[in-house]
Amino acid sequence: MEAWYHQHGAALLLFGIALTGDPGRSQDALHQVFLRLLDQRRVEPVADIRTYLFTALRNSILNEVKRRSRDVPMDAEETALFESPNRDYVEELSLRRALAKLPDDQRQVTVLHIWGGLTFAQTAEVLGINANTAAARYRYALTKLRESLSARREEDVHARPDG
Amino acid sequence: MHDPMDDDHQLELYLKRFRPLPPEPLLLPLPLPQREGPWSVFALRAGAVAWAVATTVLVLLLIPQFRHVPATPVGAEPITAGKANAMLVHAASWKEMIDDAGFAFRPPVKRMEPGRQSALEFLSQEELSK
Repeated sequence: MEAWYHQHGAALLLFGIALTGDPGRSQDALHQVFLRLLDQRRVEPVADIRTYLFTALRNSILNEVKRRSRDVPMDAEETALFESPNRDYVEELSLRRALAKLPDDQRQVTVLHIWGGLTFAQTAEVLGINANTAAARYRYALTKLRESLSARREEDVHARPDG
Repeated sequence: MHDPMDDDHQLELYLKRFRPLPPEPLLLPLPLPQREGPWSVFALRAGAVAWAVATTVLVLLLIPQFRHVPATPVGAEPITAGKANAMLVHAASWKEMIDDAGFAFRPPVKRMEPGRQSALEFLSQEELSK
């Protein structure tokens, strides 16, 4: 159980943030999922534990959203979400902002496929949608991400004194 | 240089270079003590009682003072505070009272059959004539 937390925790947390827009709530939901699993002391045999964990987290968050009957938009400014390569915090912030701009359903598919490592079939299972729909949402998301990140790059180039 | 934004595959590789931050450590609740079944509780208690009994018996066997309790001589009168006080009143001195107490509370001498004499009595007779 602990190994799963270490192995998939980061992607699960990111998926939780993609769903709720709130790192604190995602963290709480993630802990709830694992504490419930520990309380049960055993997990029903599942073919794919990754898909199972992402689905459990999504259900937990959706139940909590129903209780609260409101949601908050993803806050890209507050908290870092990624370990940036080369410690480039501007790039990390650009990615956060680009993700925050995506529609919720596209953001969820992107996180599950890129950082969760799920196939489109698994992603579709977690989100309760068709695999083709998942793939289509992903393609739309990539296009928007590319636009956002390229625009940010151009802004950075123009902002440099020598550029 | 190839721009990672140019095609989907390169963009995917670029995005995967960012690794999501790990969550906070999972705070596990302390494990609850497992409930013992009735048989295991019974076995534990029986074991403890058996151990205590065995230890007691061993101590009684090994320590001599527990093995032999000196019996009070039959017929001997116990020295009470009252009797000692009365003797002190009649005695000439403290030492004399102490000397007399040894005889006064001595168990009565067992009478021998006629014609026989105890070795102790014989040896204790003083030959005053000498």
